[in-house]
Amino acid sequence: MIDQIYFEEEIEDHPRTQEFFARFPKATLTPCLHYKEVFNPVGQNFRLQKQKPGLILAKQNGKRIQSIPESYGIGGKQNFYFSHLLNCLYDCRYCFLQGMYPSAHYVLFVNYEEFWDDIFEKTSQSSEIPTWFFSGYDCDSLAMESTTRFVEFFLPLFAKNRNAHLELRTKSVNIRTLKKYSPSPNIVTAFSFTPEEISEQLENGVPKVKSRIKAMLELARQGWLVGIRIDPVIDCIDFENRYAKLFNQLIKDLPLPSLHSVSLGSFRMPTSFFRRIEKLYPHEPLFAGKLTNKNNSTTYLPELEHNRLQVCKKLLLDLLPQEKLFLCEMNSSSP
Amino acid sequence: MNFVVALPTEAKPIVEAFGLKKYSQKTPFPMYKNDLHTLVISGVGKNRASSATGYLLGRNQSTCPVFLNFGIAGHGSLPLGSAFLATRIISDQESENYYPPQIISSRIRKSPLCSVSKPVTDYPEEIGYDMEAHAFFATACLGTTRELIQVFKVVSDNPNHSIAQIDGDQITQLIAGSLPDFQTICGQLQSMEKEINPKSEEIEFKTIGYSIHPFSQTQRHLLDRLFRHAHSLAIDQSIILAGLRSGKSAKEAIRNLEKILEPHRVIK
Ligand code: SF4
Repeated sequence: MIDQIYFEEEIEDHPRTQEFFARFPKATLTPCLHYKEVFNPVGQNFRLQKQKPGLILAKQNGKRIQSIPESYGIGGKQNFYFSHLLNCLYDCRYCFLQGMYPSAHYVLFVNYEEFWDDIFEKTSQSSEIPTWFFSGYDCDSLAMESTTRFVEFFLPLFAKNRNAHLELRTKSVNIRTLKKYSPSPNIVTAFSFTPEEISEQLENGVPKVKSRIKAMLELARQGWLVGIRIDPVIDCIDFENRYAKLFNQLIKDLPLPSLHSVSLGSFRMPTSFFRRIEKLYPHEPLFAGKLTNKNNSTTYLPELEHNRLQVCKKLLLDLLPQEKLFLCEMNSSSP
Repeated sequence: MNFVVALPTEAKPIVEAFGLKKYSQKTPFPMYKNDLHTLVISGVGKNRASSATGYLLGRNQSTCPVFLNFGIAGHGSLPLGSAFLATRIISDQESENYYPPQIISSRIRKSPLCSVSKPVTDYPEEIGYDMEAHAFFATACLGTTRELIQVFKVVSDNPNHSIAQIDGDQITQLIAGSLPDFQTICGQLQSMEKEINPKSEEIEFKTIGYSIHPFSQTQRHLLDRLFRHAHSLAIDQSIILAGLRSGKSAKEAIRNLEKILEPHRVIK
């Protein structure tokens, strides 16, 4: 429930801003000069703000499309991410956003049209090679769809431009908008999972694993391409059994042609983020795990990390062909 | 919690409601206290508000204390006696704006607020006007987290009722009328403060742990981390202390503790 909306004075008359005002008539509206005035100051507590985040409506005037290394991708040669939204509806304890952002407010950039222009331009620059755009780096792509109407705007545009590939990454079951449209081969909805026991401990506010599997199957049966993201892999007791159970649940009813890709990534984040998060939640068992600081990145001890990833890899390769499996090296947020 | 108010007439209902006692020792500002709360009467204007807030900050023991500024304010549109929490604090003299995070769940009104250097009589905008909040916030955010700094005002004058028509008793009545809202705010801020500040049992436990060996400063940092992990992993305090005591030196004690924790370092 949004009851505090900040908006940049510059975009007060933007149609999308006005639409928000109309859609949340009870919200307190507070103008600001720039979203960073509200979002960026030091001395904010992410944990407290997460209990009641406000929505900041802003315009992204900076770089709207960022390139990402091939190693993060799922087979594409050119990979970019874009963030129409900063922060997430959910509250996963392993999420690096808590350490990266000073504030838990949602920042929504309302200039979708300019994001699309930039995406279109990037795609036109290299029309022979498929270009991938990832939308779920700084948020969950679907969780706030009823508020942002992001998919509603972008999906028809991507559907018409088949050279531009879109990954929607999510832990949400909010697939209503997707279901309204016919499947497009250049759009993949990737669902992230941890075993149920882990999800219950660490993924606050996230729909149950079973409901997410159901949503994924629904899309797949409608003909949409889906992805599975096992990221972050979390060390836990009964590791192999839990992950084996999860993988079976995920794959057993999924029509294989609908499965675009599965990616695996261990728990990892920049150590400076980790330290901040540890301070916010000093009694979180996850942070007392067998972790180490390697090249300014906090990860599991190398041997443990290798072992856990190998176990997952082996379990997955029993269920799917090698070419569908990717190893991922970005930070642990991945909705 | 720490309260900063400009006038004695504004402080009176709060002093009575919270049973605060006048602090007997000499202080730069009149001060009232009980075990949990401290209130200072800053006087009017930004310099006084800033000094009083700084003074309270300096006295504070807590890592992240609550700071609440309350009192009367003019308003361009709200009726007399209505109370509001400030959402945006601007100043007629400073360029920086403040946005106290709105994390209190209540039906209390919200309004932007402008801190002015001279009383306003024409109320040019539909916002609040006071003389202290901006300076208060600017100082308080040097020593605590912004969520725990809030500004709560009661409208004493507006375009239909000039401030000249208000006397001290009426100010006291206006503030007294908003006590239920004031208490709601205090209750929620207090539980947030508890949530993010270390518990006294933890601090006591640390003190006991430190006393077992002559730990160096670096070793104490290490110990803090291990104590935290032990707590996260639900390891009994008696096991931790026994582990420390069985070490012949500070170094060995830490090694023992690491060994105790090792098998538990996994999510259930
Ligand atoms: S990990 Fe993903 S789903 Fe969880 S809080 Fe972060 S962005 Fe949201």
